[in-house]
Amino acid sequence: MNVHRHYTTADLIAYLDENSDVVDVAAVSASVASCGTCGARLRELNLFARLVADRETWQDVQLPESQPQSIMDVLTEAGRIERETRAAERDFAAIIKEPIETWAAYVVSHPHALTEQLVRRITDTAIEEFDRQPAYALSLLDAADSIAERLHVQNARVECRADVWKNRANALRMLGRYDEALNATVTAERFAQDIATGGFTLAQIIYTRGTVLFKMGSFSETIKTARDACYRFAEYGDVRRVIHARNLEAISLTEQGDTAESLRVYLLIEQQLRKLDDPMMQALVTTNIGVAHLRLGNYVDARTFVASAQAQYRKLGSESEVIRAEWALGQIDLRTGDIDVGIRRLRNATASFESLCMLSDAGFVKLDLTEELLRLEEWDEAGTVAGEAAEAFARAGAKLHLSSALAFLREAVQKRAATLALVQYVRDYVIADEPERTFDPPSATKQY
Amino acid sequence: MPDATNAEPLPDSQRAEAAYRAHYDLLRFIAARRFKVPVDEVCGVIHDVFISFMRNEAKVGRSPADERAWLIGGVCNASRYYWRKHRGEELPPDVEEYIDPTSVAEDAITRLLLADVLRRLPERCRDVLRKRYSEGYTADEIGAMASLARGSAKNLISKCLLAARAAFCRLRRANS
Repeated sequence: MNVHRHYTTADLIAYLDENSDVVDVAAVSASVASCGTCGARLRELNLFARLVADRETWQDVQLPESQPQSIMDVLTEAGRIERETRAAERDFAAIIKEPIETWAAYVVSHPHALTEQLVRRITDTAIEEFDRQPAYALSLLDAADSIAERLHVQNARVECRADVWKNRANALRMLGRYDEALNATVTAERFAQDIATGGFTLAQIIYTRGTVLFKMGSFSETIKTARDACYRFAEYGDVRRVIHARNLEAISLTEQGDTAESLRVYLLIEQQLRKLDDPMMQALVTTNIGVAHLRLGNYVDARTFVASAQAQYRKLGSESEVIRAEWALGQIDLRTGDIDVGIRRLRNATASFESLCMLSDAGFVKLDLTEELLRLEEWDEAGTVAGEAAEAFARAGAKLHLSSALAFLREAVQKRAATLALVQYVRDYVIADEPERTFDPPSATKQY
Repeated sequence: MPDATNAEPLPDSQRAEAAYRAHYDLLRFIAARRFKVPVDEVCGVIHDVFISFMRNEAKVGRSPADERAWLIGGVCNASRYYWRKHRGEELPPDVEEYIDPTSVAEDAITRLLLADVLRRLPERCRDVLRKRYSEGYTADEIGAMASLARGSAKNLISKCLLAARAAFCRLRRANS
């Protein structure tokens, strides 16, 4: 019996160079074709030889060796950041007791307090307040910006302002001021593009823009923007943020009606999430899977996932998301015939959103309530709720075109002429929020 | 090159320094080779990225692999900015296209190790490999240049490649 002898590396290298003094080239050729081990080693050696043959390799050899690393300026910067961070804590403790409007004056009269780290400290506090008090968060960010624009070091000033404006966009989105939020992302982007190291902030700004576009109902734009953000985060190996961007893409697909595709993306996200410790994202994806099931009419699964998400949000102390989950549970109740429970949940959700000054969200829940009351032919109550919806959007800063649409709906309900389709028509118009498109009541010939 | 993937996470105060020492050579190679930033400008680009790294510290994952990926992303974007700002020209497609930090790092580490190995080979061996593999000389031509018989030239080429390969494997094992 013939026992195959694996060739040595020296044999295989000689074979590569057809060195018949060292090996029997024909025998090796036949052997590597039949032996997986020798074949694999030959392929690896071939790859190595190709790398040696590559002209760029020899340019690399010519590259001057790394200079002694002048780490000092990096360490100096690290020390400065640490000192500034400690000082910023003290300054922040002093200014937080004063009215926000006076903070910019404080740094003028206390020049030592005019630091990048104070801006970051204020910004971090604003981020913590997004959920609970978005209007307050916006005031904090306005103060942070007025301090940031006074910073002396150009890079620090521009980078801070990019970050502040990105977060202003988030606060404005939370407040339902979407046009302003979109403009804030444009300003933030301008700052981020003005510095060499703005790439990561730019990825975050683009993601934020996606979240605003989503709120505005521009779903195909959201998908494009989310994918752009995803590629940019991937360049930084930031799996967590890649997942957030993909989630945004998936919820937009859901809204576009491509629920199957969105579920596919959620499954991919869920696999990635298992490797991360990100309970907030876990809760969000759980909610979204629930919503996808709701769209598909799988009400049992929908309730399971949304209730689980609500419990997760409660643990995390995220009030606005607890309310959103309550809203979704109310919709599931309505679809499954638990009308009283569903209406009660929607009423709870509106009251809770209002208590957080999230008036646009409250308005949208009221539109859902109006729709349900119409379905039940509770005309008087529907008229009242439609009026409250208009009022909520007005208090959120809705412009004339939206007010006209909501007033039209209120009157139609009060005249008992409204239909479920009219509520949907007005809801779509409010979501789109395009000031240049005046509200045209649906034509009389069309069944609304 | 220091091991960049197996270290324990460090406290914040030492984090930037440790990351700098671990990844500087890799980042320098990526900026200079992949993005063709002039060698004397590379240090400035990398320092900007490290300062940004410190500013964004809370947003960067704590594992050395996360740090390395973030820094590679930072260098790629800062290098593109360099092109736009200082060359005033359209970015070449290979500079503009999105990168995967893991494969960029693997490729760069392989090339850095190989360059290091070739640099340290005896001069005669290095010349033989360059002539045979990069410049395309035949064994006969190399033999003629080195006053060697054809067979001896072939043996020399094989031995040099074998030595380079063994040194490369040793270095790669030490870095894995």
